[in-house]
Amino acid sequence: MRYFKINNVALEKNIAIKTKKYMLLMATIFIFLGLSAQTTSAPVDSSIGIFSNALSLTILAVIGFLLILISVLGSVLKKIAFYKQQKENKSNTTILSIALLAFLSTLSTSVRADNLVENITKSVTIGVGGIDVLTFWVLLFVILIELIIVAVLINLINLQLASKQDDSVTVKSIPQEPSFFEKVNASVAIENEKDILFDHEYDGIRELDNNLPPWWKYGFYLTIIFGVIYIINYHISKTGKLQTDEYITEVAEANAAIEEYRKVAANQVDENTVTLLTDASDIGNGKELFMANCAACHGRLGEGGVGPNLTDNYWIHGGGVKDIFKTIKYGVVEKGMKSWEADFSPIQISRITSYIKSINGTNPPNGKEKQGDLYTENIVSPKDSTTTPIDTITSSTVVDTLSKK
Amino acid sequence: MEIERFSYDNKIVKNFAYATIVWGLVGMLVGLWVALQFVFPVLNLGIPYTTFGRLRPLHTNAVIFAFVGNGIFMGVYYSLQRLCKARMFSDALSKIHFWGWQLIIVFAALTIPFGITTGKEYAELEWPIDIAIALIWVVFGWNMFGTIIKRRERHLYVGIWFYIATFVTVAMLHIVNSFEIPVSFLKSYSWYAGVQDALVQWWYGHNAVAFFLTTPYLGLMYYFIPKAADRPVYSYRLSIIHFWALIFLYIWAGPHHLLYTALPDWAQSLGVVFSVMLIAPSWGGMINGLLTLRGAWDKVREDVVLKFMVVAVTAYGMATFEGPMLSLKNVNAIGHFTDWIIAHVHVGALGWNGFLTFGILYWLIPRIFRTELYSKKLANWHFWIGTLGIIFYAVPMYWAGFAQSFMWKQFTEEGQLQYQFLETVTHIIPMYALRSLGGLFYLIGAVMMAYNIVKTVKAGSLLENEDAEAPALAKEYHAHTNEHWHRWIERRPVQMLVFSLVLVLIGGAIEMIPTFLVKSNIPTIASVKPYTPLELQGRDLYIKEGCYTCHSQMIRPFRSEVARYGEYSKAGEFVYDHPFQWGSKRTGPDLARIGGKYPDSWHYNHMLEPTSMSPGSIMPNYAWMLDNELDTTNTAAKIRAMITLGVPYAEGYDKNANADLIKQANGIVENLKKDGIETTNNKEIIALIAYLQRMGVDIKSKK
Repeated sequence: MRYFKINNVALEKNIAIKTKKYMLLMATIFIFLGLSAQTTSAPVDSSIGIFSNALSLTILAVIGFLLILISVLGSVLKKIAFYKQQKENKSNTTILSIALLAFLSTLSTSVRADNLVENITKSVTIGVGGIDVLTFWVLLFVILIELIIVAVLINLINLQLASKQDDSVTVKSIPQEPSFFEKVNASVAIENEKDILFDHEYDGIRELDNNLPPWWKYGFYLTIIFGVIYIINYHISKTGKLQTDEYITEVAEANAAIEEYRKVAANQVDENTVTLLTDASDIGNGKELFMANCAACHGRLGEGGVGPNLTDNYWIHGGGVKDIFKTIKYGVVEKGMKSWEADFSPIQISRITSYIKSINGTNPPNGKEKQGDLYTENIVSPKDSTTTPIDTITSSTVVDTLSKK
Repeated sequence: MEIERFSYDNKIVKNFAYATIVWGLVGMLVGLWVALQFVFPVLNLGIPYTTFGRLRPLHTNAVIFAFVGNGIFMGVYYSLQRLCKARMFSDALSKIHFWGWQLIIVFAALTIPFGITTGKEYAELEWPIDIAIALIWVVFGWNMFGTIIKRRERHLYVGIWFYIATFVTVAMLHIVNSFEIPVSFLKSYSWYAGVQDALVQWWYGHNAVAFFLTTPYLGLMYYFIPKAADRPVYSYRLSIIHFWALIFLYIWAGPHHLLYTALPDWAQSLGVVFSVMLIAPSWGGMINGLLTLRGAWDKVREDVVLKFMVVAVTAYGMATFEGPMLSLKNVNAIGHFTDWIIAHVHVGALGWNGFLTFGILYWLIPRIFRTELYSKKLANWHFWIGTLGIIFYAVPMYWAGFAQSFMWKQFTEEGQLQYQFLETVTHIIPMYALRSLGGLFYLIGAVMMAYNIVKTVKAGSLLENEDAEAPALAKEYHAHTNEHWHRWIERRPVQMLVFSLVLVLIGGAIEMIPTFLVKSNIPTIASVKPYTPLELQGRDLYIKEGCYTCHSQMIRPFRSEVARYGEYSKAGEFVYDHPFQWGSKRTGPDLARIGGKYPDSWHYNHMLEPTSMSPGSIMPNYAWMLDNELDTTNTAAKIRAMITLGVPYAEGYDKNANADLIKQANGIVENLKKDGIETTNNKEIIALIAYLQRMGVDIKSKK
């Protein structure tokens, strides 16, 4: 009898140590996760990385759920060990164990690993459902570890429940259970404080010799491990992408997405295909955009100001629909007209162009004097066909030329 | 052992306490003012001295160095005497320290609104004041160490460890960051340029937070919380570990202010990992503070002093957890340059520094004036309205930060930026209004405290010299056989000072020396040339007006920023920037590649009245720049200073500089004339336009 009790206590201790280790392991894994999330996610639009993808969200939900399960199982195990020590109410344990087992059996079906694998194999070909392969396997590995821990915990609980018949120890006095905070911080109870009070004193201030709170201490270790792994990841194994590579990937992905979009989207125009729009709603929209963005320089009526008059027949860069479209799109940077390509979609530029054409000849008050050449509608500007395409964003080329110097 | 009789100097404590309150009110009032300028730009008043760019540095300097600074000295002078069982080393030094520091503050208030600034955040004061700060700081250290040396207590209490680390580190930070070459009595250029200047500046800036706003206040916390709660400190071992870990790790974290910039990747990564490692050491202080209150929580419900302190320590915990999170690159990509950072620093400033100061004042004033606090009820009201103020300040700013950041990064499906920059600003103006309300609440609370303390002081009488007695320290000391190993250094203040200094030197040295010496960290770009004399003058005006308080000059390598501002910034572009002007907040758009984007006349009109070119803009008018004449008498001196700093102007160029300046100015005048603007070549605006049109064009033409 006596022997068993000791054994029981030892077991409890053992469990406590194990739980601690599991927690440490889990936390390490999460740090890995955090790292790979940093690696894989472009910092911009999808700055939340793996948290924005449906598959990874599902996997993360499973991971979180298993974590909760583990902590529930862990506390159940502790409770059982505690009850067994006290031995005050047998039926309590039985009910608990039955409830527990029922709960577990439902759980174990819901987190069957093959469900997941099936889910995943569907999309293995394209970098696994939108998250990259490394992240995916790390996530899967986390689930595997969690499942093992769950199995071990269930095993331990079974062991405890099975051995209950042999046990008939009566415990006389139970020490008062420490409070939640005392347990978490491993502090000495206030009543026993005098045992750990230092004899020194400064202007009446005394000091206690409490333990470092374990969660604090292990948390500190974890951040140090994180730091080491981080540096290895980015600067030694170079598995993590540094900012320039991250940027190149981000732009490539965005350009691919835009290409995709353009394939299916209608109403695509460029300076070679643009035509005058006459629909009132198009002109109206063009006017709105003009008022918000162009009026500051060209005047609210197009009369000119910082920029040239847009209502007369004189144009510096051509007055045809295609010319105006081009001027807005690429700008004339040396003369102070910025490129609006990044601000407006092609269809928006064609609406602004059409609005500008619509105010031709309105002769508003305070019109700026004529600039450029007289433009008449039937002459087709020869410049239109010789546009040089400009890369949307040059990145690698600039970086390369710079680093070579 | 013979008992010695002596007295504590309470008068100096009282002086610092008064200064804390007065400067606190001034700093907060200026803060409220600049906050309202976001909502009502007319509050810039149309004169140079009260525009945001000049008042913002006044606000930060006032609350950091005047309010918190005096708060530190008040707490240190009170606690150090009692912890050492000795009067301050020299009453004369105490007086020099007090009046010297107030004089520095007055000089700051007299220079910053006049545009006399170095253009480096939190180190704006010009070189003569920098020297004065260094001298007064040494006086403080001298007085403190003198007191420690003649102490009647063998071992140094944890609070004093923090004071020592504060003294030695702030001295180091201030001296290294203030290396500058004087051009005239009130104008200097930073010794460092571009990336290196940025690294030094944020090593300083970050650790000003660490060693001016954090470590001295932790020292105060270790004295005043146990005193106010009458409880022993929770864990001596925790004090030891978190103290040494904190001062060692903090120094490294500066580069987290420069993530995704042109700073070399390895330095950025060091900034990230050391910030993450800082969580536990920072929280060590919070835990030790809060757990010291174990068994005294019933008192916390009753005692307003403890209430303030609990909120202060909790705010400290929140801010020091948030800081490392903001240092993760993917979080920083969202938060940097937005109001999230403003929220973050104000949780620290209003919560931690403000509330701890208030708690200490409410505790200390009745004691040295031998009376009761005039009104506990009013103090309670102060507590609640102050807390409400913090919430009203922080929550809208977090919201504004997220909202604006996501708007900046939002693309349409067609690949265009969804929002113009100005739209992202006007969208969050209601948040700015709410934030001002929070600030107003907080200020009202502080006024209530001032009234309460005036009443208390009137009711009591100051005990200028408080009698005390203690046995003299024995010459010989025999350590206990099983004493804690750390006790050894606790009885050796000089060793503690030296060891702290060595620890804080390591991080800075490892980050800075390679950045200065290894060429590959800042690849040279052949097309980047020094500024012309006119551009240099324009740049000095940019610094003078404090443009950097709202505009960054650092395009990060993100698709959204490259689309909005142009090719991302490269380290080699900044090699002639003494000082760097990367900025830390984008209330207005980035300007790194503003050059050539708009015509000269656009800038002319925009500076006269920003809303004429950008309707809805909250930028102040800079009409005086159109009338003020540019001072070109100092051009030669400026060129010579730059040559000393290694900027490759030709030998003797200082003599021809003004000729070139006028030539370039004439060109701009011609340009403006074409757009119907008549002006002359000797106006400030011409130099500013020259600088703006130069920015970022050296490598822009590649596109």
